[in-house]
Amino acid sequence: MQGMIKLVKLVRVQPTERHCEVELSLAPQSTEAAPVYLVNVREGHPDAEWQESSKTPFPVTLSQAETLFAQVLASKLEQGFVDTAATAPNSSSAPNPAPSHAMQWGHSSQTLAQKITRPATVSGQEKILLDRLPPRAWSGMSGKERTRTVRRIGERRLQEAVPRLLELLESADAMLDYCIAYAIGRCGDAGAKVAMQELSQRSKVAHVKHMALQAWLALATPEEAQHHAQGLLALWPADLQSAWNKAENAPSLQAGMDEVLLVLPAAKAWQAWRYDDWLEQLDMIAQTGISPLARPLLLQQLNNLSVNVLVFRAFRHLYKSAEFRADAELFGILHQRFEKAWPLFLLTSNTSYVYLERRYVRYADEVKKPHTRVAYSSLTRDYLRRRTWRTLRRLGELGSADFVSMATGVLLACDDAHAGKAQLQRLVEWNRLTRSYETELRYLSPYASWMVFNQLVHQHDSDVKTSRTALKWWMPATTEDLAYPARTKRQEAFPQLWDAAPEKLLYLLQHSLCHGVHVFAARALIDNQGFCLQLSAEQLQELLQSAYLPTQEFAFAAIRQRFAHQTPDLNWLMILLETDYQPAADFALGFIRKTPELYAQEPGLIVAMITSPSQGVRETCRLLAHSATVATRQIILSRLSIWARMATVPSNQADAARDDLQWLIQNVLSEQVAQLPDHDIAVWCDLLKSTHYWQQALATDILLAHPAGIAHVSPLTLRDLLQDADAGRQSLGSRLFAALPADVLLQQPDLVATLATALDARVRAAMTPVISQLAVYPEFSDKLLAHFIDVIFRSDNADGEDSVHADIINWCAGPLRAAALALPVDVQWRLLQARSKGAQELGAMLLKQEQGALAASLGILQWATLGKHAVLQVRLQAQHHFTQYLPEVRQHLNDALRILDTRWPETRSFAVEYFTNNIGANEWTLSQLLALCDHSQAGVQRLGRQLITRHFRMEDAAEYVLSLSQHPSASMQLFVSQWLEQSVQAYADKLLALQHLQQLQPYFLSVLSHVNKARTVKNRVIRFLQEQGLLSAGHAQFVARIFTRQVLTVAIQDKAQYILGLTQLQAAYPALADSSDWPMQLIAPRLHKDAAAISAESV
Amino acid sequence: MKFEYRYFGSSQVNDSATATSMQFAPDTLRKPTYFAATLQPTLALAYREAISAMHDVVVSDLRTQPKDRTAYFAWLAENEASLLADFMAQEKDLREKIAPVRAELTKVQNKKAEVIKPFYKAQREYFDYLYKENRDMWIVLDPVITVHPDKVFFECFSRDESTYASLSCRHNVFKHLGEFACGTTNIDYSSALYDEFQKIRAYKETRFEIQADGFQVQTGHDEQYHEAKIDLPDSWMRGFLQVSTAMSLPAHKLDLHPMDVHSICHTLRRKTERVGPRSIRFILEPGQPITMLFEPWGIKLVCQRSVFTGKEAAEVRIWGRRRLLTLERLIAVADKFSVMLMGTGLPSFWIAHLPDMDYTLGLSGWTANDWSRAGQFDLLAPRLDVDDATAQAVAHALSSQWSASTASLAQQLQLDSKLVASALTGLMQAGRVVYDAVDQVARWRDLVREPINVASLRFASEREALAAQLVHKNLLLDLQSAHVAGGGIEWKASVSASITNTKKLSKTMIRLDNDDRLVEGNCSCDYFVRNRMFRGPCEHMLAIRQVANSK
Repeated sequence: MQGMIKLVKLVRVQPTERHCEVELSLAPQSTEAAPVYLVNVREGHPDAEWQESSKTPFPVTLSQAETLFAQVLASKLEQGFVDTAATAPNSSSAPNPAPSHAMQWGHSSQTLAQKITRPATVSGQEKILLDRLPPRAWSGMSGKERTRTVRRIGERRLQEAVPRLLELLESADAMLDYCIAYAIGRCGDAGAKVAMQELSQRSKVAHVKHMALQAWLALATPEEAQHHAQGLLALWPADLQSAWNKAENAPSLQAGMDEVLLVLPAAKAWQAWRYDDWLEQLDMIAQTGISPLARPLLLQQLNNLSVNVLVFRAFRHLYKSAEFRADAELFGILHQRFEKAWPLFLLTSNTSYVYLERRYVRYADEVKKPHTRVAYSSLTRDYLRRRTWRTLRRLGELGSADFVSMATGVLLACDDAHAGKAQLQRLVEWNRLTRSYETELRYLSPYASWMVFNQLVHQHDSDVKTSRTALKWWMPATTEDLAYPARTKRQEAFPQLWDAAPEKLLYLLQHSLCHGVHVFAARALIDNQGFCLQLSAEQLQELLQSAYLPTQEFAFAAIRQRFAHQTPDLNWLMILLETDYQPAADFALGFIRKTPELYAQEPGLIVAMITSPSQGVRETCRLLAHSATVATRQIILSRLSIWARMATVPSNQADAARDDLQWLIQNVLSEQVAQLPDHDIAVWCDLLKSTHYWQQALATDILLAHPAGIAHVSPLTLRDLLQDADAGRQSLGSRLFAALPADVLLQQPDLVATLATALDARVRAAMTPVISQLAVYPEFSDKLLAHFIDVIFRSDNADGEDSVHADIINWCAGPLRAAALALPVDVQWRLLQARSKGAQELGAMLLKQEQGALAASLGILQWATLGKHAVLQVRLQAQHHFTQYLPEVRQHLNDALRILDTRWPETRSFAVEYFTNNIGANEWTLSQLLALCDHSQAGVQRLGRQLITRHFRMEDAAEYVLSLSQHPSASMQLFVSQWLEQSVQAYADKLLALQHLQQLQPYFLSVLSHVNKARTVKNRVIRFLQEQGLLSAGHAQFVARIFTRQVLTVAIQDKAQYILGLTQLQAAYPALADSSDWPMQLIAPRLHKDAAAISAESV
Repeated sequence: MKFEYRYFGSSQVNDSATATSMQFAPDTLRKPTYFAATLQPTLALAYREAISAMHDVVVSDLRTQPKDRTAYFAWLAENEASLLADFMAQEKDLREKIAPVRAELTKVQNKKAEVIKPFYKAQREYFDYLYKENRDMWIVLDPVITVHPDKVFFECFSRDESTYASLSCRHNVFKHLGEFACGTTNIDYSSALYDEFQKIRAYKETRFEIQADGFQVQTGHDEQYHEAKIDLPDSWMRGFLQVSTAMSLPAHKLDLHPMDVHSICHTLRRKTERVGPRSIRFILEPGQPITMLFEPWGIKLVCQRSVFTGKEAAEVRIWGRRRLLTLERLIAVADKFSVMLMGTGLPSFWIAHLPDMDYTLGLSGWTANDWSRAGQFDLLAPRLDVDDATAQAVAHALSSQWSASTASLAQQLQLDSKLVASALTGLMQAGRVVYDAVDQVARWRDLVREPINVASLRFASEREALAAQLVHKNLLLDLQSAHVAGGGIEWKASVSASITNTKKLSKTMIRLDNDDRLVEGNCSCDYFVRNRMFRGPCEHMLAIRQVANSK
């Protein structure tokens, strides 16, 4: 009898999980000999093949074995292994996180050096200007000073200077005349009208004529101006004139404009007609007011025409004339065009020639020609942009009211659609002093390159920095945030002027399309408390519904302030609730929550709330609606009907409110809906044919809530919905279908089944009530189930809610449970064994049912097969069955062992444990133990070896060795080597023993042919063979044959042992050496005379 | 090349304590081939070892795998800052400040590792599970099984495109159960099958079954067919065909004792090579024991009991010797090994003679199929021009009798034996015939369903095709060679720029290292000037290389 003396199981978790077993066991030995012992070590990962080694190539005495055992154990413990029996899990105390060390960063304030020279008082400046005009002072001035003086007078509109200016007309060069015309036109003294008219006709210089004409127009009476405009119209080409006449009679402005625009492409045929002239003429016509068409047409043209040579002259003239007339809208639009339009020529200040049509021409010469080929160079563009700011700045410095209106025009022309993208710029620069690179991070807002915008809006912003030319504006960035900064302080230019005209700020908030402008204007308006208090409800509502957050915030702040101490009326509450600005809605909800009983009877409010885009509002509405009286509910329903028929509701808003509407109809309005008269139901039925999904869905909800609603739906409508390609509409159809009376549905099991296994989850969901309702009819549920089983065998790749299989399983677990349990057992078993995951899960579900027939029908073999199942539940159940029915398992042990074939670690470890603990030594048959050892899993092989070691029977030794020796794995070969001696000792007859030995030849060859491994087992086998060879001549011959084959090896240690063995054999049986293939010639050793004394251990 | 298989069900194993039954699912798109037999118990173990050795070939991949350094880089990214800080910290107090912070950081990181460990563990387990589920992806092409009137043989080719193995069993190995139909088919092979092969024992009955139409339906609605669509790289196919074509070429033949192979494996297992050349040099002298020289260690292995019986002395070098380690399992069961060496750097064949079985391991001349080996050999070149009618006649004759020697075919068809040999080579290149080196006969075996267009596979690149033309027209001048200091040989020549433009010459140089790899080159041609060696050598270099090989 052989057995385990000691077995220590060790485990190590770091760095990878490793298990180790150190074993001290009694060596297999015949009973009469003194007991000897083996120390074996096994180590490896639980799921992999373990490394097996033996510390005792040959059995040793107990004391030696104990020492070896202790040594191995100590070395393993040193390697970090822990004894599994001794350890208890130690809890690790969580250390408190150290308080974060916040660093205080210094704040470097960098301010832009701002040197704004304050102008002297305006009246003082005016006096100086006027004092320059008398002849004495005038004669002392240079030409430049004179023109400058006149221009300034024009800017300030000093009417008292006009008589003297008239005297100065045509007294010097054209520039002075130009400035005088400008000044007179601005001052608006009608007495100078004739002079201007004359100048416009007499002057030989084009720009003087142009300015004089503008001045005259500004001074002329409306009749005169209209007459002039009519004259212009009369000169137009006939086509254009007729189009114009048609346009004036057109029904709408847009149609009229289209009329004119359509005729323009034919302009090539019109002789002597110029586009730029026409635009200027349009402007003059617009000024005189004879046609409402002219101004919109002009603005449309200026907004859309590309800035090119053909029209640039008009742009330039119109820009100057807008500046002259203080026409803010025109001025703003033209400026914004210059901001956005790329120049046609890139010039630097010292370029004088441009390359045109194969030759260089002087730009300055070319640009003066009437039909110039150049225009709008980069210098021009920059000049014009700077000029806009200069104009605005001078107006602002003068404190003129024109500043605000002109700036409003410029800001209104700004549009986010034309803005760039906010970005971060990284500039890396070498710093010579610190000898390191310094990185500067700049935030460029979307408006970074809009010079005038930035001048107007950011001028007093200490954070904003600008380039020398003020063409680029940026802020030093500290974060990666790209959002346009909110504004706490006012930063705009001339704030006092804006404060004087808060209505312009309001206008900006109402009309601007630019976020930056809203930020500026909302902040500026906050400082005008008085104005804010006067804002009307409509204005505030409009601002609250703005698309721009700063404006919404401003409006909400104003509203809050207004209702600080009172409750807003219903109208205001609706306004607040309708907006998508959450704080406003919350504010209103606060009031409603205070006195819900007051508001519960307001049908309009409830409909507005339940359809609100905000989730919170709808939730509050649910609370309110409960308290509504019957009468109120009635009105709510009729209001809802009106709302539902509105085609203007945005569909995303309606979709968001769908669930709540459904809830309202089913829970609050159910009685009212049930009492709806037929004609109202018909209206809802019509909505089913709508093209909007939300309307159809709402109608479906109403119809389903009405007891006879489904009867009103025409079969055609229902069919269209069911067959619709859109899954959403199909789901509506299926819900309606599900509402059909039970006797109708019972006729249609196939349709129900098809809808219940549709790909869209909503369609399937609609079938759940039908299935629950009709499951009581066994015939129906059987048909349904057959279809489901068919579907569940097919693969389904969807997860979660989308999965058809999941729904089927739910139905089978719920309404169809009885039918599913009544399925034939073989179908249930097939479900379990199917490839489709859904089928497996359904099978698992059926297996779990206590009243199901499946579990009871299974034999041990089938339970063992279920140990391999992919569903954990099933495997656990199989384990449970095994534990519960131990006697049965004992009876069918062969079948039960199949559970070891599982690839799931938890089941395998259960099985290994189970068989170790529950099956006694005498219950195992030899073939079963061998089958365990032959198993493909390393863990099961270990079990087999362990059992054999424990329940070893001497009489079986030969059988074990013969069978196990055929195993290919190294650990099994090592295991077998322990019993070689016992196996031959079992035979009393030497001949039989030799036969046994011969049967083991493949094993010997296999072990001895291992390349560079299996040292222990090789040594054991060689020594065993050496000993066996000496038993008889037959043995010797057998052993010699093996040694002869193997002795060719280059492995020195093996070779030495083979030679030793052969020498011994030759000494014992000299006849052997006479055979022809004897590999050795024995030459007497010179050093070791007694060769036989060299034992295997000493090699 | 695209391959399509359609298996009905998958290969199954029914296992009990006393018997194992393996049912292979054949490719149903092919002509039905069927066969049912049990293994002879006396040969079971040898069969197991042989089929296991074959499995080693199927999954072997000795190409150099780049080291996975992601973990290192992740560590570096985490620690770079602190390493840099260490480096930069010149002042002591800074160090003192860093120390507690770093200690805390380490603590936090350890804690993080502890917290996140179960997650990683679960993740790894999941990946392991997936890996096991999809492990069959690792097998490139399912093994081919061929049933012939006298033999059944299995063939496979390794993933790294360099090793071919075939196990041919005489029918004695099996005890037949009923009829069998000759033919070739692919079988659905998986690593689970390998595990089952390990269970073969003499005391257990092992039954093989290849059924004509797969298995009968077992579960009513399950989808039983599974289709495999494999896109094989052309280089894989080229390798396979090159190696199997090489088998019919003349070779140095030698016999080795199993223990000689043991010694070879032992030598290779004991040492690791760090520098080239990594070759075995066979020194063959008539009447003398075969001697093998292992480079670069200079270990000389003299096979005392294996005497070279050839007539001419020769010295042959082969590379990719680690592939021989797949023979380890056969040492114990083989009676002897026969080796066929085609020549230096050319394929070699190692045949293990087992009782009633022969295991053939074919090694291509190299392990890696990179450009440094490009254009070394052209084993797919046609030997003689054979007209279509002759080729078809040979094909027809062979396919009707499954196997025949060249001489018997020549006699049967009344054709010149050289012509027949050449026609057979053509068929081998097309994958329709395999040469049985043991019986020295050609055997009919359709590797794939449709015949392969060998012309499209012959050259790895356009450059190789151009080089072959240059060599064919003999457009190389002043070919010179010289040994260089660092080891290796430098070849120089003036090569015509192209076969049409013979007036323009390209001055070309290549350097081959000790392992015969093309390690450096230079050429005055446009292709080299543009691409250097980034896209492989130019046609002129390849031409020189081909000529150099033959010298």
